[in-house]
Amino acid sequence: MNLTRDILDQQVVDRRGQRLGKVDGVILELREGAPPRIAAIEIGPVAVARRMHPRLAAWLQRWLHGHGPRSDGTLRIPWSQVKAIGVDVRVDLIADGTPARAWEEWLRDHVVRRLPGAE
Amino acid sequence: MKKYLQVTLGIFTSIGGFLEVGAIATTAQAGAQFGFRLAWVLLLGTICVIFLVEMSGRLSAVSKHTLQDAMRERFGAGFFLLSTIPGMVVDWLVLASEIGGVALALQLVTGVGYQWWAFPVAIAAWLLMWKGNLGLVENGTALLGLVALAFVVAAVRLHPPLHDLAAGLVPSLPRSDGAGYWFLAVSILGALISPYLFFFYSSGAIEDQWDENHIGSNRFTAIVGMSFGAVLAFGVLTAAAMVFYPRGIQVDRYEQVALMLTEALGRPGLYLFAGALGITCFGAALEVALGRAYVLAQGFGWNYTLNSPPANSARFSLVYTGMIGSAAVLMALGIDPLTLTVFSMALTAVTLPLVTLPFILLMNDRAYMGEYRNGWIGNVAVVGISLLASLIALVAIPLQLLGG
Amino acid sequence: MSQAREVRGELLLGRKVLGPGGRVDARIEEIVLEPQGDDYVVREYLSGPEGFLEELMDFAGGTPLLRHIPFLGRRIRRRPIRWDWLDLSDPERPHLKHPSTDASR
Repeated sequence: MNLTRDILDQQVVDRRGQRLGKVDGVILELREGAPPRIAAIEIGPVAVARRMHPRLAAWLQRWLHGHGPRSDGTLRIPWSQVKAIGVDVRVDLIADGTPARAWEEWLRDHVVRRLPGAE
Repeated sequence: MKKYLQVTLGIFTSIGGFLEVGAIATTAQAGAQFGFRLAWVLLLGTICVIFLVEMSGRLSAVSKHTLQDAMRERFGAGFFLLSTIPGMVVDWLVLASEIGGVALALQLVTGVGYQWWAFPVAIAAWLLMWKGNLGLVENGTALLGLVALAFVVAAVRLHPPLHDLAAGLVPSLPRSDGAGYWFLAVSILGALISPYLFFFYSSGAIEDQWDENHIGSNRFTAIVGMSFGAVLAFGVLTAAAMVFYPRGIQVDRYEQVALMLTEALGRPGLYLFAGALGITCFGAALEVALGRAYVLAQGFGWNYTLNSPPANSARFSLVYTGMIGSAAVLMALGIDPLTLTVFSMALTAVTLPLVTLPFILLMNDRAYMGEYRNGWIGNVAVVGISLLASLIALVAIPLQLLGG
Repeated sequence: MSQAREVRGELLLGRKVLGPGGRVDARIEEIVLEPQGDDYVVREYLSGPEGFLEELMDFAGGTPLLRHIPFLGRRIRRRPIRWDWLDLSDPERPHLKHPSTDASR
């Protein structure tokens, strides 16, 4: 299995098939005398920004913490909760309430629902 | 059989993506200035679009990913951001032009200035996206867009000399005003081959849940749908060539373009022109706003769908809302729609290679396409189109400065 | 109890790998993983076409026609680097090491 081809930037889907986000980052754990193992995948705009430039990531993180739901939207999912890698990456949790959904839910409650006909 | 009714996606895409304010403006100018001699550019553009649309559809049906999804997954977040940000800015300008097109149509009919129509048009489009679903958007606009057939009817009634039209289908060098000729050629191609068209079509294929069984109907939809748009565009070219060219009339105001139809169809021609312009531009506005919202939503992995209430895809819904609201501001401020149209066509041409080049790799990728990878015809087409797109991108801005 | 150290995989990609003399040897283009019990561990790192343009050139190099265009058509070789040959003690400057030169043996 390859990191770039099969894991990174792939769509992450929760237990119910809801879209959580893309795999924006992969955490490897370095070990003495043993090969590095995948510890977790990470979803979040800060991880994407960091791939462009670390300063952009720092700025984005500050901004996200200062506005809206006050969350930087980063969700780290331990590898043990990754159930399948295929067309999508399926994870064993429910999307609602996780930081990955923080902005979606905040925008839904504070902006979209205020407009007529949103449901 | 139902699959072949999917052709409405193709027809809608072609009405909004193919024939819209840019295509009408550039094609009418081409007919007025050069008669039938630029007909080959329309043909070339049509062939390119048919290939690219078919590939977008096949990619979606087989890989279950949209074009923009696949672009991020295959080329990484960096490439995705670098190609998406300029694309969004350009499409925002195109969106403003399309809103301008609808507003101009309303101005033609009511006499009330287009600036006043900008927000009502934007709100109407927004309501359709907010409350409607993809089927309504596709089918409704495709049906109403049939009014654009008025161009074809007018063209036929003007008894165009068929051998002149046929001669125009063969590429030829300009006899005079070389810069103007090539500028129009590039503008027409920029107007016809618009990235948002492929993003939208590919997203529609996923929302309509296509799979390998749709390969055949996809091909049919791409060919028939885009050819329909091409026939409409040829209608515009012919009408302009018959009405303006013999009299040496230069087309620089929209009111003049309406003359194309009144000559052949009498007074109703004015209303038919307004209807055709308004509906094609309305469809284009929907496609651009949705196309770019799909790009962002799929690139970042958000929920996105038109087929359930906006509360279920808050970020996606807010993107198209924000785009259409802010684009309307440009028109309300009184920026000239025709000028903005020409400018945004040139910019679209510049961003085109960023979309066509990834196609080369995606359509040959075994992981995405399996056994449905491009054959040699598809590859020759996509490489050729990419070379053409790169060439156009290089000359678009210089030509605009020289010949526009 | 050794501290588990973390490295971001997505940042390793595209990083230059330094050779023994400090020269740039390659760029990490892909990380290949294999299962080990319940885990997935790194087997090797690949270097090869990096970025979009290089991929296009690699593609051109593989086609019968474009291959003959001098600058354009070259196939880009990938060289695997075994997991224990890459020293990641400074993740921003990975360098090659041969396991048998490891002084702690």
